Amino acid sequence: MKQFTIPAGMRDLILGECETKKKIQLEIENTLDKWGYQEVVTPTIEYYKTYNIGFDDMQEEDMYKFFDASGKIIMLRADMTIPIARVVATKFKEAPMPLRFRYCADVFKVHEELSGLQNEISDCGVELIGVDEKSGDLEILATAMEALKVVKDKKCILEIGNVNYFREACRVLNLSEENISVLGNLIGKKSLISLEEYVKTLQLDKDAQQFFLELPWMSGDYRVLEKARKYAWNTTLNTLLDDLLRLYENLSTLGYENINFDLGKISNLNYYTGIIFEAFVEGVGTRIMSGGRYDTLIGKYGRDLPAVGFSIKLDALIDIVPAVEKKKKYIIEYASKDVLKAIMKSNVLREKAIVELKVNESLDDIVVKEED
Amino acid sequence: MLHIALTKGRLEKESVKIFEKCGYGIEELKNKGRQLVFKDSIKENDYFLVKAADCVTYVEHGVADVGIVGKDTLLESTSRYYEILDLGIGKCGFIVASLPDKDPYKKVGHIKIGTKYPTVAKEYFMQKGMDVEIIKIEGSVELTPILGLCDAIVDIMETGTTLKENGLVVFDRICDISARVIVNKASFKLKRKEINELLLDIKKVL
Repeated sequence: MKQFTIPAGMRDLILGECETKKKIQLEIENTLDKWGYQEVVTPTIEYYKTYNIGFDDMQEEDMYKFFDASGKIIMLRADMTIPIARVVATKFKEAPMPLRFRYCADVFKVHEELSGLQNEISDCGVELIGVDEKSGDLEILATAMEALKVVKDKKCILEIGNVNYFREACRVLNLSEENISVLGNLIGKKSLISLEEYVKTLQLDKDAQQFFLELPWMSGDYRVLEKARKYAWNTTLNTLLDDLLRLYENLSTLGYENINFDLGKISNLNYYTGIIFEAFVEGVGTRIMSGGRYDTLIGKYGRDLPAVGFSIKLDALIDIVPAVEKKKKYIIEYASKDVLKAIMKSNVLREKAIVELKVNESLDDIVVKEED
Repeated sequence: MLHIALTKGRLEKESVKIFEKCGYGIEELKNKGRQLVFKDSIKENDYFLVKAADCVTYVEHGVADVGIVGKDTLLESTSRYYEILDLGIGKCGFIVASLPDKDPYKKVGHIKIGTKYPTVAKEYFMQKGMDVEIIKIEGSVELTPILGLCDAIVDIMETGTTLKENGLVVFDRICDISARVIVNKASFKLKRKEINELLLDIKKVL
């Protein structure tokens, strides 16, 4: 017997799963619409070069790559931020700011086989373009909190960091690019044992050593911002903590709860230039939302604009959001000779419910049943 | 409520001992029958025993919040978890070994390395700037230089007895290995209080 399977990391979504996913998507899109975001659809395939310029250290093996007819390398899109940055820089050259774009699209990333991870996931998100951190950061976080209401009464935490906290501290300490990259990697992954070993090899005073060892632990509620004060060696670092604290106070004033901070959050995407944030929800073992500020990315495609955005991973939510309630449904059974009558009857009923037709040759006349 | 994945075998006894010292209710774990999940009689934890590589998989998917697993396994896996604590148990090291007259660093030409740990071997030789071919061997790696399949091996060494008995010598020590506590990223945020408590309890008895 012939067996047909799907490629590694792919999934079929059927029946209730589709309905639930659609419901989550519509609810999020509805929220984003109310904040003035307009939908953008970009091609599933982009030039490899486009991504390579955006991600400085792109992991080649993580991308699905092909050749086009002329031999250029093309790839399945790995995210939606890069395509939107490209669209903004090339199609909105003179447009007044800000621009608010939203998307819901499948993005592709290759994971090692048999890991149980999905290689195609649906990202639903926004990009707020042309607004700097002074006002844009609070707006995007408030939008994120509204969108996260889709998880209903499940415990959900939004965690905020700022890549500049780590970068500025490294700058003050005069660390080399290589040291910064290794440190960033170890701190971001909270790989604490290797971090301790590595920090010992650097020529740092006690205070600085202690700082890097504590950085992965500077995560939790707003009080970590105070804990971090003792290492705020200059005005830049102090201002950065002030700004995060103000974000917290403002979000609290707006009524949002469960806002945490992680100053040791160092994204593996190096295009972020300011705040970065992630959301976690009870029952899901991975982040369900990620986002951040990327003020230099769009410039790489030709127009210098500050921007900030986030995306929600829809697939992760399917299992925790309650399934869609069953709708009322009629079944009309009919013998073939009555097909016209059956469809006419169904058209009438369809105005208030779902109607499904079913052949039953033993019947003399059509029969309408309500599905239980 | 924390779900804790423990590695079966070598590390099992010593990890159980740590939880015992913490004063946790691990009677079920000590006198285990055929069951697979063990409830803590004091704390709100449950434990399950799995193979080392699976421990990482369970933690990455968040089915386990916390895992105890050897650094050797972590080095072979991709790191989508937080590695928080060194338990200092199950100590051993990764080494490069071969027959005394087969120094791989002096060989000119194509070098073949036999190992159960291809990622570790690849990373190590890359850092050394050496271009080698890695051959994956599932067990008794010591055989490969003796039989002439490989020029040297990358393997775990605990006491060195097996190497000595087979006439192999250590040419380099790659790194030390011991058991680590790994934590799921989402659990670290969502169950912060419970996880911090657990880590504190463990740190006290190390």
